[in-house]
Amino acid sequence: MRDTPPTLTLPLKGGGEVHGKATKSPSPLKGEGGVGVTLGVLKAGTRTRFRSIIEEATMPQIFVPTFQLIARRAFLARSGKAAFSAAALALLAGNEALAAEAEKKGGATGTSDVTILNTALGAEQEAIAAYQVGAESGLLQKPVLDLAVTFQGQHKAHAELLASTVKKLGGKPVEAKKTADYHFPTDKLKSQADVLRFAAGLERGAVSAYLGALPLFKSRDLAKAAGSILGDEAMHWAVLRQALGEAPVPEAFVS
Amino acid sequence: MRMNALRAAALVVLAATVPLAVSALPPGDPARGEKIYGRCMACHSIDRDRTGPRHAGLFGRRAGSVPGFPYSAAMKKAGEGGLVWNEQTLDKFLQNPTKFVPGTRMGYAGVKDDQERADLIAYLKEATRQ
Repeated sequence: MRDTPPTLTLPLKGGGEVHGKATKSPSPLKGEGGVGVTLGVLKAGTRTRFRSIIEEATMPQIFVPTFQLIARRAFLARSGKAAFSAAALALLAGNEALAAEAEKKGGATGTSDVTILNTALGAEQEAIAAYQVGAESGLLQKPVLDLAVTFQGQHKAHAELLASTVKKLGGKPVEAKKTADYHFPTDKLKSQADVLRFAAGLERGAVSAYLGALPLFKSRDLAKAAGSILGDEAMHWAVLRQALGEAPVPEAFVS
Repeated sequence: MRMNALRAAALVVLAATVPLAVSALPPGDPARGEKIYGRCMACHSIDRDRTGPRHAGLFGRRAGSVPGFPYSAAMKKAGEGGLVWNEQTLDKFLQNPTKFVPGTRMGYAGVKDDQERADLIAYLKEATRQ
């Protein structure tokens, strides 16, 4: 029998209703109540109202099903963290000699792969600290809090990979600063939306930073590993945009 | 390596001391530039040092001179060689950072589009005023 997506009617805070089409989740969550909401069918003008609601630090009800779905998936995938690291390390294993050789050669830019990796490591360490501040702020509500913790775990995996690669190439990994030394703008973080927007800005910057670094790697294997991290951070950015009521994937290209 | 350093020094001196009568860039739009600045936000901020140095007070500042920031030897040397940040030097640096200052820690390929670079510089000029 063919399933017909039911229409959801959800009451909005402050009155009125929002109508959305419920969608069955893809196979990974089949049988787990995975139901999302196709935001594209929402009536015009509704997104603006979502934004005003999220500014009040409340999760708009329409996002809750979607976010529960994403958060559950994130938790299911958390065990993949170690697998990711192992896979990425495997990617580099055996190519270390080539990478080290490329490192010795330097190149026209004079900026070595180790330097690029260490710059990326510094940014990852800051992201880890930022998510910690967000998680401890008391402003994040479940399931957003769960997502933040998951994203932080993935940044930790990136940092571990970058640090170990720097070591393998004969460099010294930069050390993380104390959280206070990052001077995060905590005075401007008053709501869940503020934290999400701050995190989204970091993720968006990270995507551009990795994209800008890719052409500079002398080792193609390192460029591939950095591309893998880029993809992960682009997903973080998209999910955070979705949480803020913005188009999760606003353009066909990132820059 | 030595040739690279000499080349960098020559470029820096050239960019810092030769006044360019006409900017090669089109007029910039700060509003568009603010969006482009989002690309810098993994490492930079206007008002605090991060993986990269703060941008507040950027225009007219000698390269590598934010107190307490751990610059690369290359960037410090460029500043000591006379590199001062202005529209022209930023244009060249942002177009290809590692070519303009070989050895910089800013491992970023650059903003290649002239209009985007002009917009970004226009934004920085407004946002970094102290």
